[in-house]
Amino acid sequence: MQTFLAVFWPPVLVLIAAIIILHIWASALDEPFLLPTPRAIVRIAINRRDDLLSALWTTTEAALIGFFCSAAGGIAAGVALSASSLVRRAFYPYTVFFQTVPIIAVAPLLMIWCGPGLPAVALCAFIVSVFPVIAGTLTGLLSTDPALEDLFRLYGASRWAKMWKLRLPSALPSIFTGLRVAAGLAVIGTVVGEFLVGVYGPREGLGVRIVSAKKQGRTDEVFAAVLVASLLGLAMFAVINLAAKLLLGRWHASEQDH
Amino acid sequence: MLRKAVLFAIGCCVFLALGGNNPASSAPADATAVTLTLDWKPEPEFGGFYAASQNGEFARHGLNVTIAPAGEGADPWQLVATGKTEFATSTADQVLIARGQKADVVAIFAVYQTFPQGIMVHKARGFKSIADVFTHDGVLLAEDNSWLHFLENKFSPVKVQITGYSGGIAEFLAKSDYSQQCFVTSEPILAKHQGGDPQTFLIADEGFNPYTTVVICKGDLWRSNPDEVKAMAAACREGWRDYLDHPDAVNATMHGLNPDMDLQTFGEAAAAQKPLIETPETKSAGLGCMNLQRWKDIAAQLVNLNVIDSSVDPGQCFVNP
Amino acid sequence: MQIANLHKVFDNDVVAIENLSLEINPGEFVAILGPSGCGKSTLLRIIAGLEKPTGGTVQIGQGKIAYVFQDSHLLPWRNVLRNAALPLELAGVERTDRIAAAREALSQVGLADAVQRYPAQLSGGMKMRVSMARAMVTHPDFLLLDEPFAALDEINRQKLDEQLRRLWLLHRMTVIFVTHSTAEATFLADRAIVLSTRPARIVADLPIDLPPDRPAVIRSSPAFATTTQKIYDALERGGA
Repeated sequence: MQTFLAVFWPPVLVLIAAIIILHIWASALDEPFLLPTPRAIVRIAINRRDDLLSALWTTTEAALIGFFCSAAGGIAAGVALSASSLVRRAFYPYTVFFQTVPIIAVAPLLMIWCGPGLPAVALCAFIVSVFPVIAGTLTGLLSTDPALEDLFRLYGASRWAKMWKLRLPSALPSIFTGLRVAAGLAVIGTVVGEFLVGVYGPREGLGVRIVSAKKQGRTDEVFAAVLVASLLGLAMFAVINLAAKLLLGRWHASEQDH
Repeated sequence: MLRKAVLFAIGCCVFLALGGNNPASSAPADATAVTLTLDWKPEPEFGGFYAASQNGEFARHGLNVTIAPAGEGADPWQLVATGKTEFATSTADQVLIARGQKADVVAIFAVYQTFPQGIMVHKARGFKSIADVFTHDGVLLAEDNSWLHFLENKFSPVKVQITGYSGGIAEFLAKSDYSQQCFVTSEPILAKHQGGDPQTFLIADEGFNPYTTVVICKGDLWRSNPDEVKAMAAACREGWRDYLDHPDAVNATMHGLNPDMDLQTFGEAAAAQKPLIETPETKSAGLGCMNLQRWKDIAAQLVNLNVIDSSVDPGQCFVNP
Repeated sequence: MQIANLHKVFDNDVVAIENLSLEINPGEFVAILGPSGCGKSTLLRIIAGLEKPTGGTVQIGQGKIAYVFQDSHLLPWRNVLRNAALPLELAGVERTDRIAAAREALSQVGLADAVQRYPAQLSGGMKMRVSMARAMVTHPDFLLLDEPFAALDEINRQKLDEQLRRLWLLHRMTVIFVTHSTAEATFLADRAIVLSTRPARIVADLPIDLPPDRPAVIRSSPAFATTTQKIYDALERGGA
């Protein structure tokens, strides 16, 4: 219990301070359609909790699908690119396209190809979040200890054994860095995708709620939905950190307490 | 004595020469500088304002108006309520929503007497009315505005998939089961030029008919400086009269600012929108006039849709200066 | 092992080894010394098959080769036991067999109690012993070591030298041990080959006439000192 408190009081203190500052600022401004007070945000969140939870569910579904595709696709792409420097020089520059393409331009095309709603939104999440995974995987794979490579070569290891028993485990810390970044981006990509090609209706996602509330001047609802989306991002981040602790905890410096 | 008179005369000439150096609006140097922020790109729906700017109606009423284009992000009533702009264009339902959020904005001039929004479908689908759009499969691209809530409510349960609209007709042309919101004077004409088969239904025919492209300003401004507001409304009235009668030169200006719409479409749209702007009522009460019953009707509909609550007073929403 | 006219040039036109010939008999314990950068590590890597010579031949008899690096280079995500078992795993040996062999090799270096630990939890000396166990787990015929104990403190180093010699006396594999230390070479080997500065050629090939049974105290004997002096002189002649 003591360590629990010790870990959590710094961020909680920051949160309380932020809420107080927001409250003072919003009350002084007195323009609820521009900056609602924390109390108004919480109130609307509680009043509309069923809608918000249902929206959260929809957004989570798309974000998770997009993220898992990024994780699997990104790692696979990283492995493929690590195969030879010729392959890398030929294809790596084009993976940067994923990072730089403006989703606003691409989303309508996605909608035309696979219809509005979940497929298009999940694709937005994927496009926005895949590059960090590719980069993290590739960097990790290319940074394998050369002496260990020699060792594996000496003992006649097959290509598969080298990849599976040496390079991938060695690349895990770097892969996790990429996954951590990708998680947050996947949530952003999902919400922005929902702005553009999300479907309205009883199962609309957080992005649609945000646009809808904005149109009706209900800024407190906008803030509430944004807050819930941030919590989703935080939750995904926490899960990845847990996974990192489990897989890297015993051996990597980044998971040891210093 | 003579020297003083000559110096005074020279001074006046210099003063006038410096003041009269504004080619676009030849307003006198003491004209009030204000901004009118539009809620869309320069298109025939704003023709009267550009006419007033170009042909001097604003200047004659002592106004130096900068017409600012629409920006992404804040709604026009928010810009007015926070003082970022003195005047803006909006719709009646947005004014009611604003006042529901305790923003004191008020409408002073309504360009469209009839709600010009419609739903554009592919003729090949054989729809007979808006009801068909909502009760059949397909995709509807629409902004999440009050009229959409009204139609969803009227035709529930809704079968069509509704998703966001961000402008243009590209997606509509690409897929035959797509429908989209439109300004009846604009997108359908554009679609026809690009080889599409558009059919348009007017949303007003379903019973939702807010004043549109209304000029709004802060309630404070009307109370503290009614002359400025009267001048603005009068200049708008004259500018719109001018545009309705002679649209071509103004269309050329707007096309220069919005090259995405070609000149031919500008001309056709300007002609098509006339009956929505000039009605028997405006012929007697003047262009841009508004009446209380229309505001009450819209307010009641929005209350029914839970968009605003009943505390919003429709009578406070507008003035006829 | 027969090495004839060995020649090695690197990509940047650096000649590491020029016309080197050497013969090593089975079961010999050979120490190779030379100044820094003279090419002794390169020679060892060529013998191991990790580098290809530019010219000349290397003929090695049948047998398994094991290599111990300067750093222990353990897989940090595996525990001690699975690290030691790695060579057998790569050779496709069954799990129960290779775990048993790994346990055996680890007890021979005194790490029987540490099998569940991870490299991050081990000291430098312990990690090096795991590395040695890993090398021994295949019962190699050739054991190549490249300054393996150079990073350890004096006491650990001497202890590991003694451990290595004990293993050799037990298994009698051919050992080639690259080192900087004349004392270490004298303690461990039957034969010391001294190389010159780059490009490496053999300056001296000295037999080490000390009894096979070498307790720790032998380090203070006169014969020991004389031998180390001879090696030292050879190094100086070679330009060290």
